[in-house]
Amino acid sequence: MSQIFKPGANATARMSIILTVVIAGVLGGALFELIADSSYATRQNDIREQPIPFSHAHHVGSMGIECRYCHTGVENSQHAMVPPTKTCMNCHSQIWVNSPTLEPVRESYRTNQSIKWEKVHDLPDYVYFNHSIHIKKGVGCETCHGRVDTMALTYQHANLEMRWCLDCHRNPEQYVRPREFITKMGYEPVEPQEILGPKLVKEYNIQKLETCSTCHR
Amino acid sequence: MTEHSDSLNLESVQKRLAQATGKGYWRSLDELFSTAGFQEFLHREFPRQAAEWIDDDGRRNFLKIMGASLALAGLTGCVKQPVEYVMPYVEEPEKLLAGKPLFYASGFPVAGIVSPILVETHEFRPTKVEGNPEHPASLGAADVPTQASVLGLYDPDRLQTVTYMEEARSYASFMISFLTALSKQRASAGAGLCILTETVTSPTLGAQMQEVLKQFPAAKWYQWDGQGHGRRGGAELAFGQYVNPVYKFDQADVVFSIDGNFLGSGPGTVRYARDFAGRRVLRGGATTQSRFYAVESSPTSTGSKSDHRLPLKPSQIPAFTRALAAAVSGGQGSGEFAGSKFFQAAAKDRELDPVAARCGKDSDAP
Repeated sequence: MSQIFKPGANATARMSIILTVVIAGVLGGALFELIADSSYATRQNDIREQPIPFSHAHHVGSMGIECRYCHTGVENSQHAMVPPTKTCMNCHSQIWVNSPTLEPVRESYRTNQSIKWEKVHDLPDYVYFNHSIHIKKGVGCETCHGRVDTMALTYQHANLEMRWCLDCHRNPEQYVRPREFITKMGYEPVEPQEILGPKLVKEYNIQKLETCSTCHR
Repeated sequence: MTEHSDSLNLESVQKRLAQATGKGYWRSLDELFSTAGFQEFLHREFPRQAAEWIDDDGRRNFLKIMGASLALAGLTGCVKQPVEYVMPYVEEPEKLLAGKPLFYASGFPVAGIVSPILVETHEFRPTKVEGNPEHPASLGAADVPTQASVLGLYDPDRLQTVTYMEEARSYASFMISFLTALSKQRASAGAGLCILTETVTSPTLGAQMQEVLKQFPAAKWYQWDGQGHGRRGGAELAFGQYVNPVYKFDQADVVFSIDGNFLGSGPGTVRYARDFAGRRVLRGGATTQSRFYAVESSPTSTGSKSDHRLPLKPSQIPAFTRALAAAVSGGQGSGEFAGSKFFQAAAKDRELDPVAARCGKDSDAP
């Protein structure tokens, strides 16, 4: 009976072991990347259920309330801040006072208990982020949060991955806008961004902060 | 070994040590005697299970399971982040901007002397204590106890409520028993009433105390602190009343400290340190430095800064002070110190500048 395995079989066996590991690794890595980048993991475009179906489309789009009327911290603090119940009641003690939808607001005001909003933009705890500096350097609300004025229910517009942050930190001139249009939704640059961008970068003294410790401090 | 157990006295210790041969190290007498209490303590500190893992298989199994659970713990990074919530205020407090610190000017009293401080708060939680830069006694600096005082606010042993015999009581029940006791004193104008406080330098509290004493003329008010009495007692001897000395180290050409740790503790330390250091560097056109002599009975940070330092026993200090006083007032100085190098250097300084030394006697030196 002749030999079943020729001398080359040893090499083939070894190679197959190595290849199995390599292929499993590559496939596993690719699968991991696919999941990690998917909107399932990043929660991009994921509409959250909130205690009150608050509509930015109505308040911003139709009524034209400015962002900073409610998000008062955005220019001076790291937090833009979800407004206190009092801010809602400024208007809703006058209008829609009997609306059942708004009962949680009135209840909060009566009982002095916070409304429990689900966090839509939730950066990991190892990331430092400061709203005020981005506002000062001419990054519009829309640039990160999208067309909030069309969101009937609020969702996360960007995927908030690190490469998304770095896109802008490496090329700020492609994204910045004049400060007077910071809160404008549907902003169009008056002159081409290729000319306006670098001008603003110079004027606002925008640095390309790419060191790890800029955000991971 | 156990025959000695629980019979700890000097005699048995000596006996035991006399029996010991070779190098046997021990860290406490309990360990030396291997008392039952010590054995139990040892057992609690290093339980039996730890000893079991000398057995190899058990240890390996343990490591395997630990390793596997650590690796699996890494997998939790692959799932979605847990949902978090935003709980805004119902009505926002005035001046608060979430994410920005709020600073409050306050004071940290030690022995009646208040260190002016700025307290940094985040959402009304104090996080850092630093000197108040706008106050002349601090100029932005703070000493160690002041810096550490923020920890006291989070001390779990800090009293949260009124207690009586270690049992919590309401404030109302305190007021009832307090007012009952007080009404008995009214008849005798407070003849049996003594009030013990720490040193009070607050004008408001002082006025309130005077108000109380007016209502109870026979009552007595005692002020006591663990430190600072030598200073006040000395001041009363020297000036006939309680005064707080304020030194001007930025104007002194020669500084002479006798057991006075003015750079290390006591009122005004941080300001003194700054003033003193300001005269020790040639900056901003200054051409002369101050000269500093220190006599002390234990090493202090103040003494380590001196040009001339003389260590003395506490019992020698009065004699030295008398000799120095004699030398300063024009005499030759006598006694055991007059010949010393230290004394001669000081005497030479006196010749250069007749208005020489300011002396501080401070009982706070450790």
